[in-house]
Amino acid sequence: MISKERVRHMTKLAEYDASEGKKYERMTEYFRSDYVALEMIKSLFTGTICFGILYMMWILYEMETLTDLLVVTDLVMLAIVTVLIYVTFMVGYLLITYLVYNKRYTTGRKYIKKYYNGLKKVQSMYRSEEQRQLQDEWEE
Amino acid sequence: MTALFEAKDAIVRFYGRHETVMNALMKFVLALAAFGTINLEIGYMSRLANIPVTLILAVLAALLPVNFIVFLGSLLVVAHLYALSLEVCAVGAAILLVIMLLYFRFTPRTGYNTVVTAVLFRLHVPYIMPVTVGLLETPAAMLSVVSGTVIYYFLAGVKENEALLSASVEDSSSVSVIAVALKQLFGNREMFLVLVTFVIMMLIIYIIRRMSIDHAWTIAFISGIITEVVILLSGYLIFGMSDRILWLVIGNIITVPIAFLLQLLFFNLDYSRIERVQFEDDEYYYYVKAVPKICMTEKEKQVTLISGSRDRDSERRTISRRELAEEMDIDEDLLD
Repeated sequence: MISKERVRHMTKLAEYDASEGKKYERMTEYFRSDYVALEMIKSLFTGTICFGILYMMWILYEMETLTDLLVVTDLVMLAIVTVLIYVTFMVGYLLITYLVYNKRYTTGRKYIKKYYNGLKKVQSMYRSEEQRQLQDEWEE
Repeated sequence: MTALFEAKDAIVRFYGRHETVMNALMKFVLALAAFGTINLEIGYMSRLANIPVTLILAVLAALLPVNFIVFLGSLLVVAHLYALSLEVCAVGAAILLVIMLLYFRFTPRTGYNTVVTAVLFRLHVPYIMPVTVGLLETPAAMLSVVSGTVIYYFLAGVKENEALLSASVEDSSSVSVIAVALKQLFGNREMFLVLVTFVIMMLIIYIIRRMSIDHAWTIAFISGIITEVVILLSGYLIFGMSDRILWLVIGNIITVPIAFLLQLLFFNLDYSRIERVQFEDDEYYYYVKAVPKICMTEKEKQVTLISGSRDRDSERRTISRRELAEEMDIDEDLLD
């Protein structure tokens, strides 16, 4: 005999598995610090590439004024300014990454906890069904 | 109002029932609009800018996940820009790459917003997008509108200066072509004005609609739209772009009813649909089709007005002492 109540719970779990489950899967595999750190390392790469592209665009755009500027100021100064801008950009970008993924981990864990509770419930249902079955057999 | 809610319910139920087909159809329409606009506006590669190719690409996009519209659209844009000149193509590809790296890394799910924003810009009603995103999405999705805006203004700038940018112009050097292409981006005051306005507008709408006040949604989009009109209007006047004001007014007049429609459709949306799942345990395979119970009123719902005119008459009627005494079944003199 199939327990309708149990199937109802199992359906909910399967629905979660098919939709949100995939999104939050990675959060079951990592601790918070590892998860966020990994995302920040990824951001370090993407951020640097983006900065490189934007900086090159800016140089090409300002080519004429830059050539005038270079006569007045020296290259070292320009390099220092560039590094400063890069550091500011990266700090901002990494901060956003940290905030976003930290929050995402918190939300994800909440869903995962709910899911595990559902699993526990189904498990206990199975156990009580088994016990009932054993009891019935004894009585017979 | 009841008729509107019934219509909403019918739409939601219809959508829920035919979800797979409707999703594909929506993707097809969106892709057709996007690719069609690209081909019409910057269709420099004639081999791609024709109806059969547009249709094939749209069908392809309808069958693939929604973000393929963004991907195929990007490829199409890059191809057309390549036909115009290599330098413009490089700049366009770089911009698209930056957007993908910065934005799709965080919220790849809302990529279609970018496409819709760019298309709506072409139709002069981009104001719909900040309203939609502010009302329905998370703050992260604001980036999608921002990137759509950047892409539109870059491509519009390219179109405006196509003679200057085209590969056939002999005397222009690569650097100057790139500088002109980049000027559409960095030197475009209108773009920055619109970007700032949209971000402020989306933040206002998002913050107000989450407040626990009555009519939060209505107050949210109305204050958002008013702020947007004020900022853009003053911006256009300061920059001397008064020719934009007409479309600003028309665009916003169109946006307001659409915002009301969005509120009607999505406020308190109970989007329950038929779910098909399968799982197994030690003894069985389960193929479950979970059908939601339909709770909404059908046509047979009847509304009875409690405070009818008859009741009001009886309230006003004065009862004489005798009548009262008769009704209470007591002696009239006792009521003194």
